[in-house]
Amino acid sequence: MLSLRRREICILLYIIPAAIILINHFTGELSAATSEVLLWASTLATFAILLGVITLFQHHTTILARRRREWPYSTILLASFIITFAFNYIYPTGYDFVINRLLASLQMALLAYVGFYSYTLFFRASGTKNPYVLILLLSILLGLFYNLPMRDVIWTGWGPLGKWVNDVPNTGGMNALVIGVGIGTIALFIRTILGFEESYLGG
Amino acid sequence: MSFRKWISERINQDRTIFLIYLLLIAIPMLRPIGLPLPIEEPTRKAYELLEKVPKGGVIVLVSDEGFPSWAELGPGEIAVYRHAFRKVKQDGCKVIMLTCYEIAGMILGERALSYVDLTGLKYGEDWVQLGYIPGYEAVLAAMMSDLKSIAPVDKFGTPTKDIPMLKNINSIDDYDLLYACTYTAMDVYIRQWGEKALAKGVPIVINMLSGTVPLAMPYYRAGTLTAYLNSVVAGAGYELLIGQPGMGAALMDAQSTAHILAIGLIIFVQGLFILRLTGGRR
Repeated sequence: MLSLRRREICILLYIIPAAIILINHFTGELSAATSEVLLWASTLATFAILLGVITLFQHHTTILARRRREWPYSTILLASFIITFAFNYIYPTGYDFVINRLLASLQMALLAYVGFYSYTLFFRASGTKNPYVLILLLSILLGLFYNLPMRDVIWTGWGPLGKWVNDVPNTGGMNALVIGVGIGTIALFIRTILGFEESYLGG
Repeated sequence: MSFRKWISERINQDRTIFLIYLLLIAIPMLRPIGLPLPIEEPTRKAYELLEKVPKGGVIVLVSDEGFPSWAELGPGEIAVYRHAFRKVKQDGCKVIMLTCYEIAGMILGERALSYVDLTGLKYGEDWVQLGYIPGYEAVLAAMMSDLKSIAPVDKFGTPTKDIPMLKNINSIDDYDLLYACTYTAMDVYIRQWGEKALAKGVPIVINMLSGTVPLAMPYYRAGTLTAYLNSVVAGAGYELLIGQPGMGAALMDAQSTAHILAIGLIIFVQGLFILRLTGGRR
């Protein structure tokens, strides 16, 4: 069992599928093997979900068993999980209610809450003579006008101006960013196959 | 006295802003004003691409949105679903639905489907729901070369090899339009689909959050991303293009008033600050 945990085996488990996909990408050979590797990835993701559920249960049952301070929250979480899981199989109407009426509404409300704070932020961040903040405020104003549905009623130039900002300076900056990310990804891949990158091994 | 102290003594700022914001959103939603709405070029392009899908063509709809993003992405998703299924009825097109990011996408995809009139359409012959397939990028990559390998069964457990519609559909060679609705980074779809789709001339349309549109621009300008839907604004525009105004159009007035509040707040506070600053120097 210990030999299976050797670092070299983990690196090989990374290199072999990566090599199969790369060879297929550039040569068109090994397409059947590539499909198989991608299927494994999907299967592994399914097991990762299962592992997540097991870990979740382990963590929260431990909290309950030791009666830690946060045990009421763990109780709610586990009860919610079990009820939703059971409803999915024995009471579909209840499951639809939990997902569409409770979960969806709660998650939407959670994000909507951020909106209120954004508006106090507009209030707090303004009122400055710092030139950098002023530039930021001007950019925010331009973005707001460009995305304002009734912008053409105020001034027909907001659309072309916003489009130019989006198409020229923004695209230029994003191009550089995307190329940088691409180069970084290649560098990371090379480091990984050479065994210099160990973070994914838990190192 | 500092400016912030001066202004905070006069207004209980947070509560006042919260109340105004709430009213400015609620009132137009309850009583729509009908403010004008621009339809952006990428939205028109997305509509035209779907409209141009040939008779009997295959439309792939990937729903990878999450619940928090529904208010922004939902209108566009519903409009695209309505349009795609109209193509099924009119031109005998086929629709494949799937989700690969998180299960919420599948639930929301089905919510979008609930707005579609499916009368006269037959599951398995006109459309198919492959459900949630875990793996995200691996799934997006695999569906380009061998769809049935990552989806051996559909959402209801029927083997995909037994589904009549999928008999001759399995890879990018068989698709005519790829659509994704995502609330995360859109470059994932371009990374896995872009090259092959571009080579085969299959358009890619992505419905995304406003915040991720800047990231999409390099791909859009390069032509790898054929068209995109910019959040709820595009959703509302798409509703108008298909002639079925809905949730998006209703949200537009609220978005306009909320944006005006934000613009007003910045100009008001900054203006007051400048006035006070110049007044103090005199």
